[in-house]
Amino acid sequence: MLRHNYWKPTMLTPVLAFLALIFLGPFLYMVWLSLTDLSFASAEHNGNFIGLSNYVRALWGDGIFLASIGRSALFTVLCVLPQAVVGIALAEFLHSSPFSHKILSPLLAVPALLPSVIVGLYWRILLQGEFGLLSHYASKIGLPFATGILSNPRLVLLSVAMVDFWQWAPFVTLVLLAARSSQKRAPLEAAWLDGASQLRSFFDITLPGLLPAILAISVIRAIDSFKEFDKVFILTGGGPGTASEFSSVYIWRQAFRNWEFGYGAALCVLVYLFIYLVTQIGLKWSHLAESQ
Amino acid sequence: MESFGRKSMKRAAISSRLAQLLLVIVLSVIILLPIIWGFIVSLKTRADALSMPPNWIFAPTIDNYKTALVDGPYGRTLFNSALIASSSSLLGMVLGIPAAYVFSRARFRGWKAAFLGILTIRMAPATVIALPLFLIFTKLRMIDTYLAIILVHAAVNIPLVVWIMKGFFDEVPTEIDEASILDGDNRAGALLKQIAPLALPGLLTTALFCFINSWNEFFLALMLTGYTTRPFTVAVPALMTPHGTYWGQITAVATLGMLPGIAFGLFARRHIVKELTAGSIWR
Repeated sequence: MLRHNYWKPTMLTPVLAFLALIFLGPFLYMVWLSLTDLSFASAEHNGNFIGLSNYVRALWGDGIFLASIGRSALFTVLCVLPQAVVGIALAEFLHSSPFSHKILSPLLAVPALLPSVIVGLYWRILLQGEFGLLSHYASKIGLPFATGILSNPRLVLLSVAMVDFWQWAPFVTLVLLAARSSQKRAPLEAAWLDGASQLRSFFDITLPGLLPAILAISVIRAIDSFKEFDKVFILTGGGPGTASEFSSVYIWRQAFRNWEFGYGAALCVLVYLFIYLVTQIGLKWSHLAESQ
Repeated sequence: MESFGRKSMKRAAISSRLAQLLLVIVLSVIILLPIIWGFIVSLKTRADALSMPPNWIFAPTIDNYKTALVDGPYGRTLFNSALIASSSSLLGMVLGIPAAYVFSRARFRGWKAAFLGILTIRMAPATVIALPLFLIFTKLRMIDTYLAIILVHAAVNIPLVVWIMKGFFDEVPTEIDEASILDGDNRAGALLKQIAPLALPGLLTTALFCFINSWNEFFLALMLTGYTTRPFTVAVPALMTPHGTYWGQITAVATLGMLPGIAFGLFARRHIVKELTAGSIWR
């Protein structure tokens, strides 16, 4: 039977059925839940249909939710931009210096492959107040706020972004280095022969060639940092106050601490929709950049 | 004059080399510092662990490893991690590879929708997956079973398997399938006997990648496992208790928990980049 055209459905159906069972079915169930008042915290709210009330509440009545979305968006920018810029610079450096490449590149993949919970815990050991190794030395040399970097509401987003930078900037470098290495040398050499400076030819030739890779890795990193949960959960638990409460942490609190499943489901649907739409726009951009 | 010029050029080359070396050292220290400091803390006594100014010279002890793994429940949690990660990556590979092969070899109505649909799963925040499954598994009394978390981790890894393995299958010429079919094999035979062996390096790295993903995963495990089935990623943060944080034990278990990722990063680096850039999602 597999010899003719039946092999396609035969090989594809199991995986599609499995994904439908684990993801699609539960997702549709969650969409239904988002239209109910299901909550384990009160006996009356046992899943009555309430229409779009949860969505109205989230979008027009819940300033904390909207603030957490804004915070996640800000955090995404704080992660993606520095990682892309430093990644580009380091990739160019390693490309031009084979011996640095040889020593450093084995290490570059490591942080991204560590459990992010452990990354969070280890940076807590380094940064927490007076007992942190780094905060201790930082305050010794007189840096302000050194011992409060995780408990200062104004610095905490930067601190978490710094930890994310540690985990992911090396990996971004690795990806861009691969893209850089596959570029052809001829256009660069021609530009040098024409008297273009190193810097000029980098911005005119190398960088535009890297653009698709830069956009691709930025979109991936943006999705991941918008979803960030593990590290911030361990590092700050969303605090101090709500200073680092990302949308993922807020939804977790609504669903699994306040046991408001109907409302939590609506928040999940909204955030997923948001990520989906923004990603589509990002992909459109990267297609445009690639076709140019 | 000329020799002087050559000498200064040589000097410039040496100093540029020194600057590069310095940069490489600084970057390596930044990458390695948290890992090494964690390892150092794991070899200290509880009183010593976070004493400031930090003790760099001390008598190392393996008490933390003994307390956590032998006397405490943390050996079990590492075993749970291994069991969940290996089962889920096996299941994910078995389901994902045939799909990757179809996506590589065939075009059909709905191809793009199915392929992108599978990849869209990667965008879902963990809460989106965890919230309905938590309620469903609670109803089915499957919370705190290995089966529940293995199924979910397998499903999370399938998009990755499909995406990465499609890239590897694309590199195997279709003539090989055709020859195998002319020899009397069906498609499944061609995939198993001819294509899979050719894509073996990719197959192994993909499997290891799935293993690492599941091994490192925290949120879904936090929501769907319980005391008997929890992996180390869920158990270790629980050592931050209201009556104190057991940093020695945390770093002991964490050091062991980081070994798969470190080993994979050091030895399979080239493949990782290829895998993650091979995806044709962006076209």
